[in-house]
Order: sequence, then C-alpha cells, then structure tokens
Amino acid sequence: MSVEQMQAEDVERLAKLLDLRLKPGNSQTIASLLTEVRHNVLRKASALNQDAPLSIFFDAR
Amino acid sequence: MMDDIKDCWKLDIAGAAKAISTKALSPVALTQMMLDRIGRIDPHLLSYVTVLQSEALASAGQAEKEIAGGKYRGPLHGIPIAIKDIYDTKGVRTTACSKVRANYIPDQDCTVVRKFREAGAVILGKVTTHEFAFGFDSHPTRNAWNLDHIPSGSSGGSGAAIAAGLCFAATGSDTGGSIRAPAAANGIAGIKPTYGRVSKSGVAVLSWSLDHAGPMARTVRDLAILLGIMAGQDPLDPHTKDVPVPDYTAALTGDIRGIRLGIPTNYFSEDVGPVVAEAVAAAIKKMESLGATIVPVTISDLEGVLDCMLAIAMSEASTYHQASLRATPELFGDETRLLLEAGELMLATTYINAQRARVAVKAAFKQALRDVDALVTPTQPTTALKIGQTTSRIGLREESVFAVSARFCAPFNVSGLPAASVPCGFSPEMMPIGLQIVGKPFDEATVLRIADAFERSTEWHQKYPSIAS
Repeated sequence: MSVEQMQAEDVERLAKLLDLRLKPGNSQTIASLLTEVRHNVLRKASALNQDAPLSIFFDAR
Repeated sequence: MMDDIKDCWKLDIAGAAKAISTKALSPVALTQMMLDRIGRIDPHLLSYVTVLQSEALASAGQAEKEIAGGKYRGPLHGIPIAIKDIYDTKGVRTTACSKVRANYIPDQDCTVVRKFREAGAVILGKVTTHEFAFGFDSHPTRNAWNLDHIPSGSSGGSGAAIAAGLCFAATGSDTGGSIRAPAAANGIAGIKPTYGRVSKSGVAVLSWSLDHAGPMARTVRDLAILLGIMAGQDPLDPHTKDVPVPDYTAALTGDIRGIRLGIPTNYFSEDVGPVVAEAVAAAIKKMESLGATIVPVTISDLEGVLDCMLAIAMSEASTYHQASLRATPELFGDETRLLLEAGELMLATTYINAQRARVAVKAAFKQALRDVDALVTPTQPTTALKIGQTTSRIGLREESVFAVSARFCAPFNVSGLPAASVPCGFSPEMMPIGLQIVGKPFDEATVLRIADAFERSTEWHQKYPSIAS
C-alpha cells in the first residue's frame, strides 16, 4: 500500500474539523511527521499475520 | 562511614542506611547536609522544581525519633530522596514542568510515593522532567558533568541531582528511554522494570501502554533496594501484574559465572559513536572475564520500531491531553504542543498497526532471549548532546535528538522487557557512557545481578562530577 505525502493544507483542514488551534508554522512539520510514521508503521504491519488477535491490554510476558 | 557529615553525600543508600540503623548517622544531619548542598549547587544545575525544606527536616526528625525508639523501618528509613515532578505528592505542587499544571496540588500521594513514605524515606523535593515527560532535553536542567550539555530526559532532574550528590536516589519514568537515557548521560544507574511491575497510579500519563515507573540511584544495590519497595501489584493500577516480588538485594551475589549474555549483531551495533562502541566492547570483555559466556544474537523485526513507539506515544498522549490542548494550547511548550497536535491527527489504523507490531517485536526479543539470560547493548549511541543541539551525526547518519536518544531504549518500552543502564566509561571530554542490560519479563533480579557484578568490577560509579565537590 502506498502512502501519499500529507500536505500542510491537509493538516490545517483536519485541525479545523477537530476544533484544534494549531500553533502557526506547525502544519508542515506535522504533515511530514505523520506521513513518515504512517509509512514506516504500515510497512512493518504489512508483514504481520492479518488474522493475529489484537491485544488491547499489553502484557510483557 | 564518613568522618565528616559534609562528605556523606558520597555514600550510597546501603552505606547510609547501615550508619543510620546503628545510630552512627543522624537522618536530620544527613537531610540538612543535602538541603545545604541543594542551596549551594542547584542554582547552577537547576534540577529541583520544589525544595521541601521544612517538610524534609520534619520527616527526618520523625525518622530519627523512631529509630532512637527502636522502630527501624528498613534501608530507606531516614534517607533523603527526590521525586520526579510527574509523581503526585499530597499537598505539594506537581507541575510535570508544564504551565498547564502550574497550580496542580494533588490531594493524595501516588502509590510509589506512599510506599516510600511508609518505608521512612525523607522527600527532599520534586525534580525536573521534560514537559509531561515527552522529550529528552529536560530544560532548564544541565548535565552534572558539563553544564553546557543536556542531562537527557525525560527524568533529567533525577539524573543530574543524583550525579551531583543532591539526593541519594530519585524516581524516574520511562516511555522511550526516560530513565535509562538520563542515567547514562549523568553516569548513574537506573532501571526500567518490566511493564506491569511497578504501579503508575498517580503518575501523570504520557502513554498508558508504554509508560514505566522505576528508580534511579548511584549504585545497582540501591536500585535493588528501591525497586523492592516500589514493585508489586496495585489495585489502583490495572496494568500491574500479580507476580511475586523477590528480594532483589539477595540476587546481588557478585557472581555471573555461567550467565549467558546475548550481544546483538544488528540494530544495537549500527551507527554507534566510536567512543561508546569502545567502552561497550570493553565492558563486554570485562563481563566475559567475570565468567559470563558471550553469545552473538541477531534480533529480527526491529526495523520501524521507533515509529511504532512514536505512533503509540503520540496517539495516547494526545488522548490524555485532548481537553487541555483545546482549552489552553498556548500553555504547552512548543515541542510538546507540536507532538500533541500531530497525535490528534494520527489515523486509528496507524495506532492499531503499531500495537499489532508490538507483538512481533515482543516475539523477536523472546526468540533472542531463548538461549541467553540477558542482552547487553549500549544505552545510547552517543554521549549527552549539547544544549540547543537539534540533531546528532554519527558517521553518515544524522538524526533528531529524539531518535538518537530513543533508538536503543525504546525497543524495550515496546516489548515491555526490564532494562537497566549502568556507567561503563567516559569520553575523552569526561562525558559518561551507559551500558544497557536487558532481561526476560519480570526477571529484574537477573538484570540487577549482572549489573551489580559489572559495577563491582569497575570504578565508573565512584567518579563524581566537579560540580559535586
């Protein structure tokens, strides 16, 4: 699955929907950070067994 | 026992406790000595947020009276310690070093502080944290070894105060390395216990599923004493597990003959600064000379682990702060606000995929630990960064302060495994280097046993920064 680069305008639009007052100048950094995290997590998750159960309460054992 | 009370800051808890229990050392005199040191040294270090002068002396007086009356509570009785400013303390401002909580005064102690008070500890005050424990520079606190460097974080106040001899121990919390990174950066010891070992009830949340509470101190024996008091299931914290708490000090035999140590051949050996690599290699040799068997291990599935940690931490932190981020966003510091704003926009599928990936990371470490008792890695790829430095370069790799600080620590928040950091050397500029020892779930005893044996065979923990003298 490919991940499209999120844009500053996307962040601003979503923030408005969520009633978030972004600090001016943050939107581009947030867009880049979210794109990178999403890309890397998705790549990691793509190797997982799709049917493996999701553990809600983490247990280290 | 030191002849002059002014030198008693060099004692560890075990040594001070022995002197207190035999009435050779007065808790009041010990507490006054620490308060005097805080008054003289801390204006340069800035590790304390709140100093509890009269409360600490009253508590020390109470301890002295009890001990004189034959009621000795144990090794923390009359020992002055500090508390990270995200742990609730009844009647004492607990700010998390944020304007958001500038006036928050809890009406209850958190579970860990309650246990420390019951053990007779003297609370000197509250020490700094990176705002809400969400970062590694712990502004405005300085590194005890060089005031131009960060103490790392988020438990930077704890690390700096212990290293400078401004308390015998302190609490820390660790979501991506926040106990181990400042322990390494300040040349002291710290342990992040297994997820579920120590109650977090009454400790401000950064990330419910990644946060760990744990102790920081000058020696491994002190960690064993402190963890023995902190650990255990708590009905107020559903994350804690009903697993028996052993006597951790009994595990400190000094003998690691036959212990099998896994040395990762990937990830933890990549992009390590040469000075750190050299110190860690020497430490491993030392442990081999003590009778441990060295076993190279390869750990699969670590690629992307930092992003999984970030996705979880940002999403959970943004949930925790959702209301304040809308009501008073201007009260958050710039860095915290940016991470919280980003966390609000994280997709649920990214968060859930990161939680699913944890299972793979946990399985990879289980496999790596199958034939060994513990893993040994550098705690940090480099020594503490300079104040104001925004990136770190090792060879061709340039990374953020967050990435370089969390790279070797965060995998054990994601997996929940117990991990300690102990000093293993210094750079030519006299900046401390940390060695990380990682164990199996709920086997802190073996981690401490290995760390203690290494510490006994070296002198790194007996060196003090010049600011302390």
